[in-house]
Amino acid sequence: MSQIQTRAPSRPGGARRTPSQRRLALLRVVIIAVAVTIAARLVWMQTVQSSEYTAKAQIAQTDVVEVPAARGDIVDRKGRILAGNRTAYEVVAESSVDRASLQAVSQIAETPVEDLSARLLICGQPGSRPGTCYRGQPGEPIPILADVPIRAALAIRDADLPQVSVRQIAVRDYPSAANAAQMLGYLGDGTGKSGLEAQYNQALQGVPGRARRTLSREGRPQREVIQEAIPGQTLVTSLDVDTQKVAEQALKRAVKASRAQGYKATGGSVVVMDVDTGAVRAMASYPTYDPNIWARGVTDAEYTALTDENAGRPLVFRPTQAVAPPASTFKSLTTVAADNAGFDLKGTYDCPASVVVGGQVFRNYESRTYGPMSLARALSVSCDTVFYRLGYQMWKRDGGLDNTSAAEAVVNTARSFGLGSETGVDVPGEAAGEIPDRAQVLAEYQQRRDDYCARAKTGYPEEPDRARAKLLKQYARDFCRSGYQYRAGDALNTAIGQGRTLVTPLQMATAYAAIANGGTLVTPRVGARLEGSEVTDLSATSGSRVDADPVTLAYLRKALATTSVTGTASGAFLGFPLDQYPVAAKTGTAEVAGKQSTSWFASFAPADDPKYVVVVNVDQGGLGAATSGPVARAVYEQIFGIGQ
Amino acid sequence: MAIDVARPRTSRRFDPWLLICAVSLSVVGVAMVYSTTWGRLVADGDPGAYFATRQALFVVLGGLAAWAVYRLDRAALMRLALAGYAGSVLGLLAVLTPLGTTINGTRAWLTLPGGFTLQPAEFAKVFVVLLAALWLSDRSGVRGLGQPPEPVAILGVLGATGVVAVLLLLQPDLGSALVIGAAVLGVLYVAGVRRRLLVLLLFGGVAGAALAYLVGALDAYQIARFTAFLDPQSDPQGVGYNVSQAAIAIGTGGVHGQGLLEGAHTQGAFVPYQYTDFIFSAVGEELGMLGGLLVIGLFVVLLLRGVTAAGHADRFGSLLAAGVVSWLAAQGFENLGMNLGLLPVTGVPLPFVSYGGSSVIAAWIGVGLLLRVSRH
Repeated sequence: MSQIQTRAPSRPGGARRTPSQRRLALLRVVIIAVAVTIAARLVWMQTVQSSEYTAKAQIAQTDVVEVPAARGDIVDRKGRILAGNRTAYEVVAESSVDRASLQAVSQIAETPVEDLSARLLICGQPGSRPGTCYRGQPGEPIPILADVPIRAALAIRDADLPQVSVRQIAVRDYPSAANAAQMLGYLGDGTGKSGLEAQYNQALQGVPGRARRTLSREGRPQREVIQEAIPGQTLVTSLDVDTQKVAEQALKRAVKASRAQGYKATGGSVVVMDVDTGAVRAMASYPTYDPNIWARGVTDAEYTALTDENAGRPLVFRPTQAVAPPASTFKSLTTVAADNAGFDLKGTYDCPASVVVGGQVFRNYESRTYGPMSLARALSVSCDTVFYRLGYQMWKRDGGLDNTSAAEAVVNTARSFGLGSETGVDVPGEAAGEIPDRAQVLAEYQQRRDDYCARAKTGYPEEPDRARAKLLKQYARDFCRSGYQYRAGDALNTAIGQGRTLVTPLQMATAYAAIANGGTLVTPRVGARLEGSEVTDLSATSGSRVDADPVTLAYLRKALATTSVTGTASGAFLGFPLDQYPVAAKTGTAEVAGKQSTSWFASFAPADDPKYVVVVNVDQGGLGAATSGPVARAVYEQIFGIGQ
Repeated sequence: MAIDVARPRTSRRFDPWLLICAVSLSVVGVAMVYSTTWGRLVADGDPGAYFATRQALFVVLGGLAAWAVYRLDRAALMRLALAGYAGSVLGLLAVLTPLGTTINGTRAWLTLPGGFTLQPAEFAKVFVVLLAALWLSDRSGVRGLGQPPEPVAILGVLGATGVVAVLLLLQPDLGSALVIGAAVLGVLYVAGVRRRLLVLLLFGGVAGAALAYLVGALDAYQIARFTAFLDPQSDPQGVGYNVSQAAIAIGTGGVHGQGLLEGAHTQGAFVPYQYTDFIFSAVGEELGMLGGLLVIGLFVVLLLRGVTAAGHADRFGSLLAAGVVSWLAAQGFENLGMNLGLLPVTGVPLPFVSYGGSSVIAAWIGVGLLLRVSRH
């Protein structure tokens, strides 16, 4: 300043400084004033407020975070991992992330940007889609890309996009050769949503621990664990990876072969179970899907495909969720019912080409005729007319058209074998099936009577086809008049497992297990035990007794053993060492209106000392023996180590 | 010249204080860049001195650039100013094309080979100031200080500034636009432009920024920075988080600081962008109040010596020094202010200290120009 002042007198005029110098002086003042303000703020923060900030720093530097517990493995009976864990990378974004960042992620990960932005929508928001929308806590970073390859994950991290970050997560891994996708189930937000993952979720997920995150001098956060995470328990199942794999592959082959013969073969099931304990050794469902898609994050298209009717709905676990008429496999139960109703097992029964009941003709398959035979032979060759007659006679004894009767031999027997109710298997979402009885017919009649009785009067004027309208009116009149009756035709269909009887493959497996084990209805179990710090046994308590004389069941075992030797399954078991491992079997070919027939194969072996029950079915897959028989054979070959 | 005739030239040496301050700030910068980056680098398996070495290289390059402009005569400076300005405008246009790289919501970087990036905005500051000083002193050099410049020259300067400001707002880089505006205002002010016009320009600039806000030229990220300043809790994980973590780091420094490489908050990487825009928070935590005041002091001495140089120089030198001082002051104080929670976050680096090649080299060119002016 003094220098300027010494120069000032050189300027003409009265001012001591030039205007420009005044302006520079003001600039100087401004600089000093701002600097003092800033310095004062610094001093204030570092002296007066210092302790306050130190307290804040401690809170910030030592936050308590949740330590996720490692999810327990699902293993087979030999400890081979069916569902384990592996480390993966996921990309998360704030909900307010800008389009440019998403675009950048989309480019690096080669994923359409629409798929990414779809995941940012919270479920329930307009435009959100189930399957891809966000179900987590609002405010938390939202996963937009799961299971990213490490190369892409690093590239996204290095791009340092605003509001986008990459984090490590544990995802389910499926290292075994078996698929078992629907049975194992899938995870959503770290929680089991279906299958065993849902059933045993609590044990598998463990208990998350808590850690106080503090910082080391090296600049890396250090975790001081306050409470250890308790890792999830291992679910040891009774499954066998090898059996499961063989069942899946054989089923797939059977479906392919069936399709090659012109059948639709929309789906199929295999159940392999211990006859005494109900321990499931394998359950295969076709069509299936790659369970890894859940780890990657299911896209809309994938989710649609999983539930697509035309694709056979791969998400459905058919052994417990797909119902079909049991067809001839039901005849074993009709036999038990006949015995319970007093019919002679040692008697001789005629097997004509057809029987006529109430003016309606009921025929054998291809109108075959075998002449007089034992019940055992009738089972072995699957003669429908023998069972039609038995069914008719039992229907008459139960009261015929009188639907107040409670004594229904066939229905009661079938129910005691577990049909019409859930088996209680530890895979959630089971279907109960249906065994219609008189009470149910009456209930339905009461519900629909008014409709039909009105139609019986008005007819169907809206129907353009006059003949059809007449037929419909006739049916309405019949229903109005006598729809409450449990008619002989209904009983006959039930006796051969047709009509409105619906069962799941697993139900047939428990029914045949009861025949095989001497009369105990077991509860199927996939989980054997949970292993963690302690071991929890999961085996079911002993099941109920079926309504059958042990002698009858022994008779049945003997009778069914001939099916694979001289009966309907003899073709499928040609060359199989039946003398060493006798297989008891019943084939079935179910007729469903408007659809191709469903192929059934219910069996157990060894027939003289049963260990395993194997039930196979293929929806719209043709004949039981031809389509499903070879699948069961492949499973037995694996179990007994034949040809290996 | 009137002033210099009255006072015989006793020395043609530069003012050593300018150099001492710039070197000291740069040394602090390299040290703090090392402190804020080594941990993560080592954890990732990279050499811990990677960023610090690069910063030192930038300082050396900046020193060479400063030496070059120090030696140039006025004609060469004019050519440099025109070429540099044209280059800056082309660069600012290029970042808006796919050549540009977006970082933190601002499209401000050009990628160079060897892992280097170029931020044209930093160089635009130097060349706009240089151009303004040249134009406003061109014809009226003989008239002496304090005489209002020709309107044509003022219009030229405003036009040149306007082009750059609009390009910056398109990135959007509001911080750099404001810094350039402040620098040009400083030049115009010392050039003797009437106060009424200056006030008008100031309001025009504020209105322009407000307009940019209203028509949405600023994206959500920029707006978030302002709302976070008004209420840091409004976005605890975003910009508000950044501001509050920086405050915690500074506050825990106390009088003596935690010591270099010893600051828990800095070493724990709690403050995002700490090695660039928020480097002063690391100074505050690790070097404490004494270190913080030293940095502010060095900076203020540099600015004041720059003003002194302006007072001693011819018209061109005076305007140039005033421009450089206004630029560095606006940028430095804005950066310190946002670190201390006094001003909104606009993402401008602390000259000499923050990591960044373009910023360091540009600041050093500024020092070279100041040294050149101080020679008179």
